[in-house]
Amino acid sequence: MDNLFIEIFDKYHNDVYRLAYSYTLNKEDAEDISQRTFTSLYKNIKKFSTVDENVKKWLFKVASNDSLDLLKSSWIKKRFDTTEIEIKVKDNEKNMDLLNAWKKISKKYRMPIYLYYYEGYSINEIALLLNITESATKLRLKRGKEKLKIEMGDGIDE
Amino acid sequence: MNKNIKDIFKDVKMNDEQSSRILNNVLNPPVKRHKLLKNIIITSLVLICCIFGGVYAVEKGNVFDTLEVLFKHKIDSNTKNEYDVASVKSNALAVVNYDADIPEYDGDNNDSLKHQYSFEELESMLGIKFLQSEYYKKDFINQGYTEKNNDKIARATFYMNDITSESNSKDGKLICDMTISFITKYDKEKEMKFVTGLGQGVAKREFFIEKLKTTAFVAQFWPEENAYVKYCYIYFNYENISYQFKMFIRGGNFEEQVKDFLNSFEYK
Repeated sequence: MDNLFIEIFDKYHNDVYRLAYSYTLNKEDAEDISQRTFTSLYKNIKKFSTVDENVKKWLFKVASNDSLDLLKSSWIKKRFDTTEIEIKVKDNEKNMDLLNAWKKISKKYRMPIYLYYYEGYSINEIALLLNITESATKLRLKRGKEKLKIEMGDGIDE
Repeated sequence: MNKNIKDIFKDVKMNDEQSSRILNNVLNPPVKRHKLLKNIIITSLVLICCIFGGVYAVEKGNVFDTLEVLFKHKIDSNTKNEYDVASVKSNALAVVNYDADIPEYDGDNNDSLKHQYSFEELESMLGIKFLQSEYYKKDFINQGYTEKNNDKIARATFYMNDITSESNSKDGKLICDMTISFITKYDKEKEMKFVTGLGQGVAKREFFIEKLKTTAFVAQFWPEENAYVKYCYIYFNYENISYQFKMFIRGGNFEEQVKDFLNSFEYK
């Protein structure tokens, strides 16, 4: 049982952490979400027998639910912790503008946009992961992109 | 947008410390005690603290070659959690070429200031030998904190991360970071100190390195027999140079793997 858990952890811990980070923009919160997600996996490990895309989706579902819970909680860190990313993208004006815009848009738009553009999930898959309807997913994507554009002064391509 | 978002988040990853901490917390969660038992323990601890007038007790130090290991048993004043701290000290002074052309470096992560050396290069500049291992899969070592006193090398640290990244032994996987450090007669403090915060249930162990005829101090986290992941800090001194390792072992026999690893060190 531990072997399968370790295999899954090895393969997906960075994906879960990255998803949580894209939402919270704070390392400590992303680490907390990751820990709770993998604790949940450990308790439910009997449901899985192989390391595949379904496990990743399950982890993403748990992590996104946990992220939304965190949003309601007073424990969420109010401070962004994006220095490491800023150092990496500092020479690319567009990426820097996007990061600054990402900080400004509402959290509810971050996860659909991240899942769509970074992970390449379809509208249907995102809707299932976030427990919302397909039309709500489309709306969040559309509004999220509009907000990003406004914050960046239209400086990004579709 | 696709590319820009990927550019921003592609390097967001957990570091080794974060992933180890999470694995440790998930696989070995803290045991919840019964409330009454907890109250009894807290009361006892408070009484002990009152009697001894301090928040920690110091155990007798162990000496390994020129390395001294001192344990402090501490009690967190807020949570009343107990934990150990290992303070590893070395006052061995290395005799090196004090004028070696190695710049001072404050250990900052600025890559442009950081130097990398091959072992041969470093040995030739400093006029000393470093232990090497067949486990090394990299042929360079990074400069860490380096201090000079009147232009003479007083203290130096070099490190190699993930030295065994390409090595998967047949019965397990071993990942290891190594730090080599020394102080010289020009060092103001004449002492190097490495502090390892240990948690509950950490085994303090000794491993005799047959090949080097010296003993290494090992702080082993998650020592339970059935723990699939083992994590430890290893310290030993050899010919006035300190070698420290942060080792992460998955699967296989922990003792055998640590022994094999330590016995792989030799002068080339």
